[in-house]
Amino acid sequence: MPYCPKCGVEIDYKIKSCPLCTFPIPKIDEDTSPIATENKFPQPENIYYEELLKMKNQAFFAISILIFSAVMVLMTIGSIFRVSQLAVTYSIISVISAWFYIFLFFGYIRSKYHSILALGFITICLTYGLDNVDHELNWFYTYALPIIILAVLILFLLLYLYNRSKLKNQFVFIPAHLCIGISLFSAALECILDFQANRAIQLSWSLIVFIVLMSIALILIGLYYKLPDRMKEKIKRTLHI
Amino acid sequence: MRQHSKNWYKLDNAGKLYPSITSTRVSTVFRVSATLYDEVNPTLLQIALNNIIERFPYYKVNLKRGLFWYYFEYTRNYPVVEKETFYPCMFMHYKRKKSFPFRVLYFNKKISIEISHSITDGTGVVIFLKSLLVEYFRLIDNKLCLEKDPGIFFSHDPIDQEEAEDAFQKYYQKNIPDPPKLNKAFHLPFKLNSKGEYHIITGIIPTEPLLAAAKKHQVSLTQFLLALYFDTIQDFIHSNHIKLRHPVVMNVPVNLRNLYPSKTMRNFFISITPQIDFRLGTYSFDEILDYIKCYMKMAITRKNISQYIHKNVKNEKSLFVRLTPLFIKNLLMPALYSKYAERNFTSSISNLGQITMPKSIENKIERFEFYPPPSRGNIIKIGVGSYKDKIYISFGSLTKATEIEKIFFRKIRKMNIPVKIETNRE
Repeated sequence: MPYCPKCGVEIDYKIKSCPLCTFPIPKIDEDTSPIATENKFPQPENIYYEELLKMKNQAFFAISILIFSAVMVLMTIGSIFRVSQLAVTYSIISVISAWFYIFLFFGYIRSKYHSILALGFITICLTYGLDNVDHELNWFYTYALPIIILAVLILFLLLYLYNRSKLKNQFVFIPAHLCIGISLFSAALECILDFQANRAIQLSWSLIVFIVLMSIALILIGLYYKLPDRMKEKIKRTLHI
Repeated sequence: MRQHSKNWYKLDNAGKLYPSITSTRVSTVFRVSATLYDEVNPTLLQIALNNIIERFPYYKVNLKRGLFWYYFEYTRNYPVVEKETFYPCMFMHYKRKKSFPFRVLYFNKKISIEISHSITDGTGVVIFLKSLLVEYFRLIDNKLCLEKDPGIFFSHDPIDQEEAEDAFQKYYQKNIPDPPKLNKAFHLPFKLNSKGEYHIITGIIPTEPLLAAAKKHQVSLTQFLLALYFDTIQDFIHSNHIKLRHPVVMNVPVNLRNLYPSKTMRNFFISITPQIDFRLGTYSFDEILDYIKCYMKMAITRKNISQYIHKNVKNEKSLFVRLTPLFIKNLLMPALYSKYAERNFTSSISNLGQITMPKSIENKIERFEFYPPPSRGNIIKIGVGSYKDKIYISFGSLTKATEIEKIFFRKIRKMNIPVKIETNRE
């Protein structure tokens, strides 16, 4: 029987490292013992994810029925009672979009890039539907579409940076990149709004947001990423509570 | 199908808590398993289960929701044996329709019963498993001659009404004071596993040298292992330079059938809580042993235990608690359980004692093991069971860290006692 040289305990043939101290166990000829092939435990599966999916499906099914009922009720109200058709159409479009958003929220699309793309697509459809209720497109092409495309691009960029970054400390990474994202988005948003309103771009409030948030992000990343260990230690020493 | 005067029964005092606190991490499910020398025949195991479950009508039940409490309803369905595929002691959906509060599993040579604490304790399930094994071996060899054993029920034995009693209610004394309250205990600072994972490390140790070591110190095996566990935690605290803010408190369930003449097959245990405050200084192993010996002697008496029974039953009998709707109980119980129970323990050690089988089938079974229920509050727990000449000490752990197990088993090895380790870790 193999032994762990560090713990002195006997272990099974199949185990490659000691279960107690993870010290590698020297190889022993497995054919010498009939017990060598016997499994004491099954290759364990994790029941949690299977059960979670089951519960998620049940919840999504219940929500789908609720949304379907809500649409039916709204259509009935719209056809029987004298209510504004505009309000009914707005409600139906919003309720149907909510179903798609919930579908995304439940994580049925595995790839995060595809989820962002789907999020953008649903929002485009929603805004198009809302703007097109009176059969006239007023703000969809000028405001909604560029803002949504912009938001999707920024989300793509942040996700790309997160996947590529060596900075895996979420307490530094998430706030820092959130600052970068918001600052970029606010600058681009003001550009769009300004251009549509005045046909000219003159940044004002977004510039302040951009400078403040970018500074915070750069300080955070700089402190964590680029600061020499000696300096980090000095800051810790001086500021420790 | 046996006829029952009523087709449901109330959960016992201890069991009432468990359905409300069950979650993906706190499954409240524990396992007792028997490893045979031959491969398990699932068809025969199913027949044996169908036969023997009739002898245990109080387990042939489904959990149902009342307005104020859960209750068990007798069912005509039969539990189905399953092949073991998941981690042990995982949560079971016994609140769902037609689900049993236990499952019978097989894997290669092993037969396991995983059961919710809402229905019974370790003693109950050991008798159930032993009876199932006897029925299984009788199906394999119908000429098997078996002597009468109080710890085994045969399928044709008459059912004693006392087996289904709530012994807590029976031995409840009204006008006695509550036991002293517990404070927050030290908790092991390990990172939790992913949900759905439960790691077991079992140490297989020959009973004789371990018993000799315990006898040398004039303590029982449970007391000796408990002292060893305290010492392990002390070593862990010192080697990791942990600044203690609370004492180390152990949860040790005591089988009350040894103190009260009850035949109940439902829950009948009380947890006693030996505690050592390592802030006072380093304790030698002998000092720990002395403390445990004295503590156990004082704690395991009917007078002391009756205080705990009084406290638990008094809470259950409170009109306010009884009139609180079940859905509110379900919302509040997990937080209350954490505050008044789990938070006050560092870990737990539960010993089922020596398990025996009739001579004719003793040599058909290699071992019995006991895995404690996983719990978020006490991420490492110990379950102990002995069979023939070996003792099986199983650490159930919700963390990848193995520091505690390593120190514990190395201590036993230092006493020159051989230890064999088995695990479900990859």
